[in-house]
Amino acid sequence: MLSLDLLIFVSLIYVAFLFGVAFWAERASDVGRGGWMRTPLIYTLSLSIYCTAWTFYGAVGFAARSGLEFLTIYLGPTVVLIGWWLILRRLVRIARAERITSIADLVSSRFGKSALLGGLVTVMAVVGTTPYIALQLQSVTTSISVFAKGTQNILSSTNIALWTAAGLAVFTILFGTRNLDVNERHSGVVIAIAVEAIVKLLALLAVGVFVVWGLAGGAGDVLARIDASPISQWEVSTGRWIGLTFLSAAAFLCLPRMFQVMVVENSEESHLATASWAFPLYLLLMSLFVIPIAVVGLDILPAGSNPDLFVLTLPLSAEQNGLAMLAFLGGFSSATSMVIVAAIALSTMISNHIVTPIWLRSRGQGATISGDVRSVVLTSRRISIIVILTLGYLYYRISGGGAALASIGLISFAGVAQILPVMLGGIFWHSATKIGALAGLICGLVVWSYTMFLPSFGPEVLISQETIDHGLWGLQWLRPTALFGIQGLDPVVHAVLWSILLNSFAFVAGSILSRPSPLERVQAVQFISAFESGSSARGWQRGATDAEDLLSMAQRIIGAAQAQNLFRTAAQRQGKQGYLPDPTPQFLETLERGLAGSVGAATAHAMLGQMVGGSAVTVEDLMAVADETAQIMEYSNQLEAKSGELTTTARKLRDANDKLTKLSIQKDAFLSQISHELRTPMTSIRAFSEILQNPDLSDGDRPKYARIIEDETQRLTRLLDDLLDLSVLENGQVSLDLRQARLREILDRAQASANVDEQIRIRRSAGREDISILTDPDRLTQVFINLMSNAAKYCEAQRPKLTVIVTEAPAAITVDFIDNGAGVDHANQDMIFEKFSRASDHSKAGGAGLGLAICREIITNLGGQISYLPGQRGAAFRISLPRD
Amino acid sequence: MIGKSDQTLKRVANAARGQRLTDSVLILPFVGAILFLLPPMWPRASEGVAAEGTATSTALIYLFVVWAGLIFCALGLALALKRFGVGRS
Amino acid sequence: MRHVLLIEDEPNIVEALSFIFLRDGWKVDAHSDGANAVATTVQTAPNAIILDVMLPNRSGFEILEELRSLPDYKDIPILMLTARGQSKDRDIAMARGASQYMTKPFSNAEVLQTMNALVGHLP
Repeated sequence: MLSLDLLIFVSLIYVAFLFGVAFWAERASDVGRGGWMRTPLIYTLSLSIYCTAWTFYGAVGFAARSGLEFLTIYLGPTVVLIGWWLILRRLVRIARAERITSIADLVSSRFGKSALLGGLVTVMAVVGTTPYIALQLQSVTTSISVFAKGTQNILSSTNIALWTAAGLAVFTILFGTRNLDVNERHSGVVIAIAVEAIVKLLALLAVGVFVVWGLAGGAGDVLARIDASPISQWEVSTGRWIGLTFLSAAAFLCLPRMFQVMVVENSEESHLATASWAFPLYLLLMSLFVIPIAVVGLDILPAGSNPDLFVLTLPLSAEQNGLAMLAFLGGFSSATSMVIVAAIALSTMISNHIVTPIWLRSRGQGATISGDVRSVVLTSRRISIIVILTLGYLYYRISGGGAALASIGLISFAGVAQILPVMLGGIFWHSATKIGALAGLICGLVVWSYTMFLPSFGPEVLISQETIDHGLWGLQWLRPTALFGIQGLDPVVHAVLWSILLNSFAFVAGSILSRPSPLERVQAVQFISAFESGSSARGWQRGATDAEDLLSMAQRIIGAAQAQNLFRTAAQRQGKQGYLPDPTPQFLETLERGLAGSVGAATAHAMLGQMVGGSAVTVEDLMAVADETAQIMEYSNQLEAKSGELTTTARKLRDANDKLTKLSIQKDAFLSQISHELRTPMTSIRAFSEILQNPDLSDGDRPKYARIIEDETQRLTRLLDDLLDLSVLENGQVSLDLRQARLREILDRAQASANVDEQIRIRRSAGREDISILTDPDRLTQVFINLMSNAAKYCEAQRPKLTVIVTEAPAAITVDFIDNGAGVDHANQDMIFEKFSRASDHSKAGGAGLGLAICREIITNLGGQISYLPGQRGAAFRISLPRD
Repeated sequence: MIGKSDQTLKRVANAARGQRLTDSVLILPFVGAILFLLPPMWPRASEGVAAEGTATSTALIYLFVVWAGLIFCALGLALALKRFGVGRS
Repeated sequence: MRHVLLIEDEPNIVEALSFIFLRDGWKVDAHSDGANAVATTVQTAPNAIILDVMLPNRSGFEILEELRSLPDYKDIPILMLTARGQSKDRDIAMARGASQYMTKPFSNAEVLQTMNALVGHLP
């Protein structure tokens, strides 16, 4: 008997070897020597993760119990691959074009990038895969227990399962989340899986050859033994045969791990053509010796031996320890490779469709594109891997590890097969909608859970015996094993039939009854025409961009080291030194794929598009970006609003500052002006006072000079009056004498006082002026006088004319004074109401330039407004007064 | 002129052949499915009379022969498609 | 002969100054606008100028600067008069070459004395 210690020692060496292979492959691919890893052969071998421990151990058990039925699990994928790889190619092409990272991403993308659908498919995938992972842990545990029989060891079966789960988590985290780059794929993992594929095939073939030609007497003898065995007769029910073939075909397309290796890790469409015959061949070889091993095991081994372990127990019973060891490693390989890829696929889905959306939402402001997205995504993937393996371990503990491998596998298959209608509908049917997809998926999930998943834990664990026997709420037609009263069907066929049927029905009905959003329409066209259009990618043209800009952007997103590496490699490939390659279309495509892994495909494309500019940005690009970055945009909208506010505030501040500066200048000017206005008359007064002191003045001069002194004194007084007036008005201390008055009378009085009829013709329309108004008539008269005198003084027309127009509006009365002169030029329009501002010749003005300032103060005090009215061909002032 | 029309002819012929090949590839799974679905239709042993039923060994050989045949056909079609450059984007 | 040109826009001040200088035996010309003050200066060819700062259309400082740039008026006595009474006006005036600077209101005797001192030897 092989010692358990030796077994564990060899296993650890094998694991170390796998780590080494994976590590070496990653290194080789990092330095650009990974081309050979992208061959059809490696691709085909990586597909072999379809064959898990279920195949390796369980198929023999399956065969020993049900004869040839186990073959259905391999015939399904064979049928899909030999001819319908053209369908797969469509999937691959869509995934490439849309930069799909998982099956959840595919469904979500197709139906308008729905986060809800992505999350739902992720949940379904996790629920469907958990039993499968438990199954792998169980197979490793039971296979080790075969060797542990009779020996006392610290390793209990739960311990083994726990350690296996932990080891797998470490491997997956190391090689599955080494970087964020989904499109660059996982070279290390793929190579390790290929190695494991070879190991498990060789192991099974070796055991088979040994059984047929070592234990039995060759092929003829084996056939004879088959005829003599308990499974000599064909007893498979037609329903199960068809049902399981269909189920395996569906699962082959929908299993998250299969989607990962078949579509996401696919680097070349043509590899599918090779896989179309090579993978069925692999399956054929894997199942070739299953029946012989089962039959010989049933024949030779003592009755009651677990047929799931014949692959191990047969060599052991014949003391073939080396062969048994190889068989164990084969089973170990089958289990580990499945778990690793499933964990990578699921962690990508969980992180992209559950954690990141929730994280983005919880931040409330959307994510800015920076390094923190990267670390969150990586961390969430790592945690997801641990969670997935923990779930698998818990399922193993809860289900007790008792169920036959095959039945657990079928539950998983049926679970993920629920995605099939939506997936196929999505890539072939234009009218499929998000509502339909949701309805179909939820319906399938519910029916599958109720008829298959929940009962699988046994009665009274998750579903009561009462419900199993008499249906939900006591309704007979809702019995989990006989929905709608249909009895006599095999439970698996029953569950698959109803779940897929109701799923498809809900999908079709929901799609027909609902209307797709614009983005869904666009995505539908994109997905369904992916094949016809023939172009695999939205290509980049050589853009007018700086490689340095691209590098600085890439560093922010995928990290400095990786970005520099990517750029240097590209530069070397172009035969250049340093870090800056020419931005050729090939390089841009590489870069985009590099960025897509961390910020999402649509964003990466848009970012490059923005920088390169040369790309043809299509409507669906824009819509994809609009959707994917909706949150980011909302955030930036808020920012924009804030920055808009800031701009407004800054503008206000600038205006205020300008005004202050102007005011300060005005204050200086005001002082100068006051000084000037006061000193000028005083100069005359003083000069003539001195002159008048001369005794020898002529009699004619004396009164003349005295008159001048008097005029100038009056001027001084007027100025002081104006200043006082203005000061009172400005401080709001004016007492207004408000009473009802007729506008026409006020205008009449003003026209009489202004006394300018000789200089300017004033045109009025008396009819319109017949308005009663509550105002201070004296003050208003003062304003009108001022405006009339101004017009008389400044209007330089040949025949000066001032038109006074009164307009009555519900809320206000406006009085316009429009002359036919040159008007006030634009620059001065703001200033004319300021004190001492005179647009022109001030000797002509004859005043101190306080008139309009006083007018403004009066009108403001009267509750109205005075403003300069531009665009009237002459100077035009508008006074609007409130109606009482 | 003659060379050009020759080329065109050749291209048309190639396209037609490619279409035939693609159709064959799509038909193959149906053929496989029907062949695989035959065994359940075969007579079954009733009431323990083995001679009336179908032996597992017979069905085993039948299924594996069909399987191998399908793989061979798929190989041939894949090679042919590759040679005629069909199925490339 | 002493000949003064008054560049001043206030008619009363012009009248007062004219009276003072005429009585002292000066020939007096007057000009009231900033725009063509230099042309008038060249035309009338005075040997002293009294120049106001705040003139319509053109400031006295600009006129002063232009006059000083002409060879014929490089050294002519110019008395600047201003009513604004700010010290920086004096600085500007002296920097641009004014011969003297006085703030309004002025004493008649002082203006006459200053001008005679500036013109000096002339009869």
